[in-house]
Amino acid sequence: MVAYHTQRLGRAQLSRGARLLKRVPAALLSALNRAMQPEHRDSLKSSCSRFLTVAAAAMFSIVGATALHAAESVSASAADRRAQAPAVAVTKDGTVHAIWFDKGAVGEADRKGAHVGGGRHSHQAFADLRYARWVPGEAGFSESIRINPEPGQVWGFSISRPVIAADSEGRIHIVYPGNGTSPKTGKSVASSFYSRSIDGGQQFEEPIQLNGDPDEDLSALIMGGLAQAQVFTAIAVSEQGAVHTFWLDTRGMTESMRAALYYRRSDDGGARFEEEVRLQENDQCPCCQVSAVTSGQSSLFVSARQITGDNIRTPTVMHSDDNGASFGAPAETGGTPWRLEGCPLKLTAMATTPDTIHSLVHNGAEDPPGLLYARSAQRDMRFLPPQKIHPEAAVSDSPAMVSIGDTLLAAWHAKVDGPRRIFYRFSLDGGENFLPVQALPTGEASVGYPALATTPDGRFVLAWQENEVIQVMYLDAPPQGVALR
Amino acid sequence: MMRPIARLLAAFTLAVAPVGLASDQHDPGILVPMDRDTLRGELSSSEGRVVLVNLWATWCTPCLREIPDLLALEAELPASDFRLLAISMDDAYSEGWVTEFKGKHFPTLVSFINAELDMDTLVSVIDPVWNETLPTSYIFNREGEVVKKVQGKKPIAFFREQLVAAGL
Repeated sequence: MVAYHTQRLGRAQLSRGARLLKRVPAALLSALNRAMQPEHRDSLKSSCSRFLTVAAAAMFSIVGATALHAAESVSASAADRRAQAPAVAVTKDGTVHAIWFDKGAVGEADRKGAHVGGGRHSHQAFADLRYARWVPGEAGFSESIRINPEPGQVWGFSISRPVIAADSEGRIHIVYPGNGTSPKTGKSVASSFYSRSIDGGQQFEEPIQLNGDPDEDLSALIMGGLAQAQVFTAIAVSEQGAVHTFWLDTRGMTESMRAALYYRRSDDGGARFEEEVRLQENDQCPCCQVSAVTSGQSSLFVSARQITGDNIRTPTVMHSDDNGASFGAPAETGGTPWRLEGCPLKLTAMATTPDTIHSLVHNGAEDPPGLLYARSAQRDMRFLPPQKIHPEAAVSDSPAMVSIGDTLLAAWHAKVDGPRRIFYRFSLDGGENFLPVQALPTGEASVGYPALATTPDGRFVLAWQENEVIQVMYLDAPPQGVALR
Repeated sequence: MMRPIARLLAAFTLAVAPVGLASDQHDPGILVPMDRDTLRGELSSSEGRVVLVNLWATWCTPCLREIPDLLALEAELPASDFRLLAISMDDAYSEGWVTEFKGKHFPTLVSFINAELDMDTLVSVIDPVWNETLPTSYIFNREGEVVKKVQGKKPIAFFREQLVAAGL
């Protein structure tokens, strides 16, 4: 199974390949010498057999070593910086664009606040949003640049991740959470900001605030001095250049502590945005994150987590078949009801294959807690009973998912019987079957938060956080015809 | 069941002095960084008492709503029988302002702050399969064994019940 899964191989595996390569000539000479001896002619067949076995093993390692160069990870962020929460996108020229939160230099205490509009609050995270690109043919990423105009303006945690998307015109779209002060209340808030690049990432436009300014001080509800929050963002772009953005919003929140889901769209590649739309009333989990994905000419999906019944955190997907003009009712993706008065911080990852929408989401009520995969026909939005994507995991979380045609790739972090690692799994038939789970050999490193993208030439890009450095690598789907359950 | 309840009632009624700083509790005015070894050491030194480990963060509103109840429990119960071991899951680099936050909102809370690179690295000392949901609390019996994992904000009565079940 390993041979056709490109992986970042460890040094030990390379050494094994080198040892096997050294053994090929020795085995060949041994076989020839033995064949020249009459008493050994009878054993020629078995000698050849042994030689072929060793040669095959060597070839196996050569393939692996070649794959290593194609798949070895590169660092997007600097080793002396504390980076979190990667996101990646690929433009039509094959350039990989990566963003992440920069929390400062290693060994340096967090900076004090830099709100847009001044002020401070106690849900503090004065980070920067950094961007770098990896142009095809280059050895690695460019020097990173800061997206937020002033240092420390980003409300950055691993769980309040930024999002990035590239459209067919090569524009790069970014949404991130920022610190701010509502001009209506003078209170500290966290808001959603949008920026784009129309020159392939050379420069980014001045960020705009997507959400309207909240006019109510909810400090007593949210606590910690943060009066409102319009964050946990999602983005998706359509083939026609529409940019769809979503976020969870505390406007209208009451003692029940439920957020609303907001939506804002641009139909001209991010030059102008329509007015914000309150897509779902205050029945959403306020710290559960959202995601979005487009499909075909006009389909758009957004996932969130609705609070139903007695604090049941129910993952749902809403579908628009008219490019965001209207949305159908939320469809539940299934699983054991998860009752929780807390912060799940669990994203529902989504991807589409022809006619099908796929979801992957953590469920804390499962035993053991882990990621459930489910799919539905796009036309009827009725998800099939979910299945565990990683049945052997003691716990699995932080899903990402992308697709090319009928090939689906899911990635996540999980623990089996050792440290947390990044795992991934391909489906070659639109989610009917999945190939075995594969792991990145990251050893004892602190790893997590994978992100995925696809390239125009049919490859997959995987990014993750490893010891506070953002790593990126290519993954290739295995050949057709090897699907296993 | 009667005996533990009686012991709990006794603990409530017979506590003769306000709980001061126990020998293993640091100044509430500071947040002590906690790595895996520190956590192991704190748990080890707490054996003989029922321990409630509470994982909280400044960005977790349900956590903040729960803390007053935990402080009330700590005030009710004798330090010789019970220990509240609070750990902030905020980034250790944020120690300065988390200390400021805690000082403003929960000045009496004695808390550590996660010093590992991520939350899971620290918490896996207690729970290798923690799913990084907050708040999470673990109740240890007097033998140092985890007897209850609690996720989500719970009422104080629930915690009282669980502490009794843990042998308080």
